[in-house]
Amino acid sequence: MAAEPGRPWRLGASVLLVLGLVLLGRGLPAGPPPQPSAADADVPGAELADLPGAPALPASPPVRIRIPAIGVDAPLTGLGLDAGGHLATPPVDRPGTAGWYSGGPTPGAAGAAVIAGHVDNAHGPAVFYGLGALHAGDTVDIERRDHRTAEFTVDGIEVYSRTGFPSRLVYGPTGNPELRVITCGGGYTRATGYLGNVVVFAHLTGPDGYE
Amino acid sequence: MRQTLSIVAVAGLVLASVSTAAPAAFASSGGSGGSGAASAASVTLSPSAVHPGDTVQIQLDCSAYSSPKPTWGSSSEFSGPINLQPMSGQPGFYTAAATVSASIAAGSYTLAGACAAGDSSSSFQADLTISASDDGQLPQGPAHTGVGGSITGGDTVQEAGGLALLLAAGVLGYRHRRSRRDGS
Repeated sequence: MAAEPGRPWRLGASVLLVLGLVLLGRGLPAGPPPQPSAADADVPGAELADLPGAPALPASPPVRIRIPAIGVDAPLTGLGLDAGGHLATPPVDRPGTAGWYSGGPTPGAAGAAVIAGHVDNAHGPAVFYGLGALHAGDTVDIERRDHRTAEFTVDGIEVYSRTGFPSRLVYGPTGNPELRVITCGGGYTRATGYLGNVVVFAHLTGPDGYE
Repeated sequence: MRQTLSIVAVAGLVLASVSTAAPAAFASSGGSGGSGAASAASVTLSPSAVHPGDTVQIQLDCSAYSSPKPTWGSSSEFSGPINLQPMSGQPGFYTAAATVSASIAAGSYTLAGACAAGDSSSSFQADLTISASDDGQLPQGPAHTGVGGSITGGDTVQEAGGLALLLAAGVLGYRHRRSRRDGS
């Protein structure tokens, strides 16, 4: 038995098989990102913006976003506007980083705080690849520099085309503390790229743990 | 046995080398591409108007110089040193992500440097506008947060490597069976 001549070959072939499958699995594209279900989308704008919830927190910059339902736990960087007034995006070579619009309210303070992240980069999925799989009632936690965590509850997930993007509804002022989480979606063609944006609307439901 | 070990070792090397070969792609920007011309160096800041604490993507084009050693003039505008990294597949191009200092005063800042130390013709500069955080300006329109890599991307190097290893496994298995048949 110990002298069986085939053993080393079998071991070699098994190792090659496993390594080959791992490599192939890593190399294949992930596929289109999930898109919101009809039940979570197509909610009238009036039911998405300016919802009462927990009282506003004082302003403090966010440092981290956590969305347990889709396994997101990512650092946040500040984002400005580009020359055309569009929201800038986090560096493409840091696909695991999301950003917040530092010209607007900080998450937890009164107004609509805006967070954006890539759905993918040239190599594959990025931080908000799974954003479209969220549902109303899911939670989004924002850890802030003051060590408070602003806890938001999702009200709806909408898909807007590039040409029909409702800037005022998404970015406009609200009296209550709210959150918008944005990524790309709405279909993809090689010629035009992503056709729109997935936008998550959420409102503050609790500061989770004072430290 | 020795042959098997060497095959396994090669497979490990293949895996290790392709794992490290996954740099970021970058849309090439319109720098002046003249070769050897004076002041052919250029730098692009994205975005070029920011708030304190924002991240700026820096892309430097030194491709007009044969063996550039880029230097960055001043980094006091940022919260840390500017760490320029060569962009793979694009010789002479460098990139860095820098975080604007959280305590910087609003205003217009000129950032400068050179592609080759001591060669003034290789200098570059760009303006960075920093505005106060509470200027109340709202973003406009959609956000460009994806390029489609999850759909079209994939990594052809890894795919090819994986297929090559599977093929090698098949060949090994086939030879193993044949040698056993011949031996019995």
